[in-house]
Amino acid sequence: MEKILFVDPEKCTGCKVCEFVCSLHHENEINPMKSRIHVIAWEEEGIDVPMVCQQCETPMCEAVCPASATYRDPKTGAMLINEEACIGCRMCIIACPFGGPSINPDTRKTIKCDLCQGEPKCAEFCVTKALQYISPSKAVLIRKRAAAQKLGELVRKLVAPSVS
Amino acid sequence: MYGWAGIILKVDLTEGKIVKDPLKLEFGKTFLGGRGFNSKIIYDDFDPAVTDPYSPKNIVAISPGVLVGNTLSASRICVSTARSPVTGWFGDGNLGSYSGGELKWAGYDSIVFYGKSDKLVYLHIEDDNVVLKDARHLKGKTVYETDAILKQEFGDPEARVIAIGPAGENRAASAIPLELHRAAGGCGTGAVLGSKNLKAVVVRGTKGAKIARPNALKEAFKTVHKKLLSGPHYPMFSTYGTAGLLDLFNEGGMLPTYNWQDLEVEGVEQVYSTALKEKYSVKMIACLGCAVHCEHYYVVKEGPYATHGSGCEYEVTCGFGPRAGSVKLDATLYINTLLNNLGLDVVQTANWMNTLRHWWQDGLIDESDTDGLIMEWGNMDSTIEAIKRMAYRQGTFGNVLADNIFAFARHIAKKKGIPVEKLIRYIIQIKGMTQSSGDNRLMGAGAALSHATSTRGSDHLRGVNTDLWLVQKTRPEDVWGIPKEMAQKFLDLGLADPGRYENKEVYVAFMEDYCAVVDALGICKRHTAWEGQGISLEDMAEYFNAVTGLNYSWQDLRKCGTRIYNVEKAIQTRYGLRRKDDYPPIRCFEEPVPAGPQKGAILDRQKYDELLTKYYEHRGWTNEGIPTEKTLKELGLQDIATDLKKRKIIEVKK
Repeated sequence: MEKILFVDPEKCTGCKVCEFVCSLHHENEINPMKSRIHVIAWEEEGIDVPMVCQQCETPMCEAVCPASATYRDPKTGAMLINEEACIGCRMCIIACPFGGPSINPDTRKTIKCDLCQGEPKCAEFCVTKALQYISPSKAVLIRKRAAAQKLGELVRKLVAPSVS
Repeated sequence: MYGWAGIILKVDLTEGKIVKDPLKLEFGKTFLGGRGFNSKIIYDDFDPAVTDPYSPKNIVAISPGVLVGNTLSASRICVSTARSPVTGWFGDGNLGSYSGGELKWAGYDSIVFYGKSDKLVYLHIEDDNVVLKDARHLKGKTVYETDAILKQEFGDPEARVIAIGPAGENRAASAIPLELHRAAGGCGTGAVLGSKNLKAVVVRGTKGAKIARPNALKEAFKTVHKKLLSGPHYPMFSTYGTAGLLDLFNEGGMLPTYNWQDLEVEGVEQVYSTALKEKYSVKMIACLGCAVHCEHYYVVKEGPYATHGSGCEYEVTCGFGPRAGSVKLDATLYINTLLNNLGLDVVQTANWMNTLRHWWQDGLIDESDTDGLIMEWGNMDSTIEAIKRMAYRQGTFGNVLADNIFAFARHIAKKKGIPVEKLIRYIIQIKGMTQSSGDNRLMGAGAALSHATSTRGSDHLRGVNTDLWLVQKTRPEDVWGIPKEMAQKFLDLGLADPGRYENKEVYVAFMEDYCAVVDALGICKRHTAWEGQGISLEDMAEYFNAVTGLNYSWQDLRKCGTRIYNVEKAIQTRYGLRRKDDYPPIRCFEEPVPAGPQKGAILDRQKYDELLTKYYEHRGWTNEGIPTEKTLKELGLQDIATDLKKRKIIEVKK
């Protein structure tokens, strides 16, 4: 099964290394404005959320694109943009519920996460694993286990004394 | 030009004029950036005859290091003023920030503030647009309030704000500028900004950084990333932050308590980083581009000290913990948030409060001197009140203390008719800068020398923080972050013995240069040899070359560091500082360590004296610590040599 770029905001430290490596890899420069991923933070509350294209199964960007510039990479499942065809109308940016696509400030056309042809740099350099490139089934169980943690602690408290 | 953004922003607050000075590549190649830029700009533009730090003629330079905004784990800004209100001498402070990146991406390598505005203003930078704006509506606002208001006004939550709090506006000497909890700690540059009526800098940059050799940078990224994660202290820093040092120091018998009178305090485990992690820390957070994420986001949910905030370093857990005779972690966190909001430095403020307690203990001050506050050990409520009174200059106590601890000592000496030296003896300080939570008697002779020769006054961040990094090392490759031939030299000279004085000048001078390079590049010292970690001078050269397209060796970088150190030393000699100012606190020579595994340890004055002489020789300075013409010329600082000769500081041979 194709892997997904799995985001776990609770683990994000807000360091933005993902933005640095993304822009270096794609644009040969360090410029968060050209990064395909962005960490949105509420620093005073200690909240950091990495925002990146979710490569939807029913992509809104594709549905609204008047130039049919979007297509799916058969290898990785990533939604890609044909730069030649893109007319820079930014409809995809309006339509995307996650703020996935961005505007390249130089070309003024859409840029978005391409999963680095199956080796996403952001996940490679994310030390806390707030970003992981893994199979959907693994991702689902990570969420389930995290949610179960609290319940598990409760069960341990209730059950453990009677066991011992 | 790669690496540098290409513009030095000169802001004349008196005239309200902003000039964009093109950066000369030669200046970048010579002084690198950050601390290096600031120090040379201060040397060139500030008149040393101006002794009042709050004079409009004082200058504040704010510069990100050359690698800020274009490499991993390089996230600093360096803030510096010619005259510090804490010490009266040269001072600066480092801000591990996001704003440094934004400044570079907006196109600037430095901002230099001159003069004084007649009303409260802030500087607004959005790429090419740079404007001074009315800040009167921000008067009295805390650092966090200022941040929120300006982001909203600006309409961009991604903008970064460096601000001073009420303490800076009121010119409380230990006031500093902060980007939320990220503080340019140390020398009171916030109070100087306050005296200039500059409330904040708001910056947003969208141009990014062009890279000379992208592929080389990609490779350097990988190497450095790997070294960061495999560093011997990575597990501790990424889990517990520097707060973890408290546990280590206590278990190693090196934790200063009760203003360096003792090494123990009852219930110390209550302020351990493990307690912080378990009870109050919600998550770890990072500075820009840093994989180490050593800061806590903490919440104290209930009780009299309910609060939330970020940071919480060893300096606050020790300074407002064991060193204050306290083990109330919730009160410490409350104070941390309070200081960040008022815009006060942790290290200086903690020392001043603990000195007051020490005087109180020995009956030198009482309620009549503190406007009724009970400054007993462990009384954190009076500390909180004292901090507020100082920040707002309330009452005689608050008002005089805000001038700095020495002003308060003079005030008490006069009031009580006792010699001021008797009071100053209690303050653990060098050149007026009070010390961080290490003990000069226990960290090795090299560290003692390094703290004392530091160009901004007592400082563990200026060179050797402890000689212990060399202990038990037998092979050069085991000495993390140091070029092999230097490490071999240290080992051959027997420097792995912390108690040894002989030849320590070689280690200290090297590390002082090293730290100057790190500050000028904008890298966090926590990743480097300074902390016994892996990013080496060679790695820094790789980074520097990939970004700038130059071809510097580590020796070339070191020479830049030597140059920066000499510029700062020249500034201090111009202010009149000499050999007598390069000594550790007097108590380190007279009070033996009272307990622990190193009981009885003390600094030896004669041996220290000999070491200092050797250090000056090694540096190419006179026996009074003045850089010689020959030394300055070799470093390409002919202009400084000429100036020092003109001022008759360097003697002109007839």
